Amino acid sequence: MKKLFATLLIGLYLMRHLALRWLGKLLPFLRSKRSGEQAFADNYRADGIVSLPPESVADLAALQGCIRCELCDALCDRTATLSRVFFNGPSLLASTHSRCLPDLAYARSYRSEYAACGDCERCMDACPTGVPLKRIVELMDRMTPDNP
Amino acid sequence: MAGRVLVIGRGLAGSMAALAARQAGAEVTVAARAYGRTALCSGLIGLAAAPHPKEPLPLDAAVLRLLQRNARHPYGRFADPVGAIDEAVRLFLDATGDLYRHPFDPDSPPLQFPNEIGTVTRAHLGPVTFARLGRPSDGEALGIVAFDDYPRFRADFMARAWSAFHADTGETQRFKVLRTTLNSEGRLLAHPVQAARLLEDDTVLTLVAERLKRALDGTRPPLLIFPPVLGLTHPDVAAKLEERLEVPVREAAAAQASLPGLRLINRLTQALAAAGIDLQKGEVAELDTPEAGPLNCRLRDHSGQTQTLSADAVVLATGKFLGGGIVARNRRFSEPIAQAPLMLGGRRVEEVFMGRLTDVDFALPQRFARVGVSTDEQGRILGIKGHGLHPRLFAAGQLLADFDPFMDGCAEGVDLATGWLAGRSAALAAEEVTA
Repeated sequence: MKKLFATLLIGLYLMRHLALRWLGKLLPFLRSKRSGEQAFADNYRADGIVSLPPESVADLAALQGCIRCELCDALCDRTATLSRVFFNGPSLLASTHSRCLPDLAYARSYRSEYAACGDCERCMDACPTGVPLKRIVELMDRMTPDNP
Repeated sequence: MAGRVLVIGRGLAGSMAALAARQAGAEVTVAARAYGRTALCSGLIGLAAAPHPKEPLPLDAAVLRLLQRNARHPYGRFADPVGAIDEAVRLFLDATGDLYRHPFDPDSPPLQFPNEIGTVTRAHLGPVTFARLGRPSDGEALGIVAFDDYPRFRADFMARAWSAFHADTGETQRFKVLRTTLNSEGRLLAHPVQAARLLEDDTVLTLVAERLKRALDGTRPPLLIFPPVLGLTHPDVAAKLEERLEVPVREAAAAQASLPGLRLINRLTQALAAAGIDLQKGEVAELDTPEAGPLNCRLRDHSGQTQTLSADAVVLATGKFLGGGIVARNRRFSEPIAQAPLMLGGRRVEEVFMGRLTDVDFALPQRFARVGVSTDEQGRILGIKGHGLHPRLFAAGQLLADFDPFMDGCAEGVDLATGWLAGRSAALAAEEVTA
């Protein structure tokens, strides 16, 4: 009985969707105000899933170059003085947030650690594989503008 | 007017090419995005591997053996490979000053360095501060210093490396382990650089020396072996400790991703500056190679700003997969800067899945490691049909094809010799253009 009810419900929603789509072409005021991308962004932003801007997609290949040599941590002035409890070092950026689409819910909690880095680019000058570490922070900012 | 040479890459090969071109009278600029692979090396300079640990060959015999096995080896570009290596090594020793002040003798077998992972590394040159294996000292225990807050170095591994070496002869070497700490906050030091930075602080050094003196309790071991962390920018840390403890102080040889590699790259950077070589930071966005006129290289820095460098000759010393000299992506190998054809055993490698060039057995030679750019006797990059890609475009170091940096034991040797060759040839080519 339950299965029958569920199938009917799915069928009903499908018919409604098709009817609205069909009618929407004829009657513009019935159309949804949100585009598909906008609807996706609105629905998933709370979970930290957002679409990547094209310039970030181009960056992703370079961001994946981390080989965990930890030279960036080693030559970072802040890692030298701060405990890992307070600062995880630039390598965390590359190792956790660059293999695939960053896990933003996780990334957000670490964003503040890199706020004090300022214009220092020692980590990028040290990276043998040329990972643009600072651009990962920019990417995080760009993808979570309302959750700095 | 002196010719202008642009060297792309600042690892060992790039630095050697720059120094050789400068020595030949060219105006040299080095363009690099970051530290090269050299910053991750162990600091030892391998020129050619011994076929078997128990059969140490002098350099000329080892090089001959490499060439007999593989006629396309980069050493084969030289009419007299050992003479070229010898000359390149002398330039290297001049540049690095007191860091590698060994009397280099091509006729002697490789030196044996016990390393921090409990094995022995063989190399023809090593930093002067590295301990070398020798006969056991009669009855006297060697001292091994271990820092409790630097867990990367283990005294028992070090002792194992020495014991394994003496296992055949039946002789034994005794050790005394001296334990101390580097920092008072109880913070664990994850990377050798952190330990080295602390030791460069005079107060920490004094404190450590005092603690060790107490632990030595009046005894004077023939050698005191430290982890390879004695100084990042000031190589005089070992000398200072030696003076305060009144005992010869040495470091264990480093494994990879080490401090001695950084020390080497720092020293090379100093040598470049001392030779009046301009160092520009940035990634190469484009290399324009017209048949006539200067070669133009567009360089993009971290902030995205670009500048154009003009030169009469260009040396590519961009490394292999780590340095970005060769990119293997989407089942395709490519050389991103000059689009030079990549070769393996005289055949072009392009649309090949990387997995087809690897072997599951980690200890076997991996064919992908031999992929690279072919060059002629002057170090000029060759095209597919064997003629020069451009008369003023040269390549050096790990970018070259047909040698295996892991199995042949000659990664740094190839960097030195081919860097020296390419730098000299580039200077000559640039001079011809300006004349």
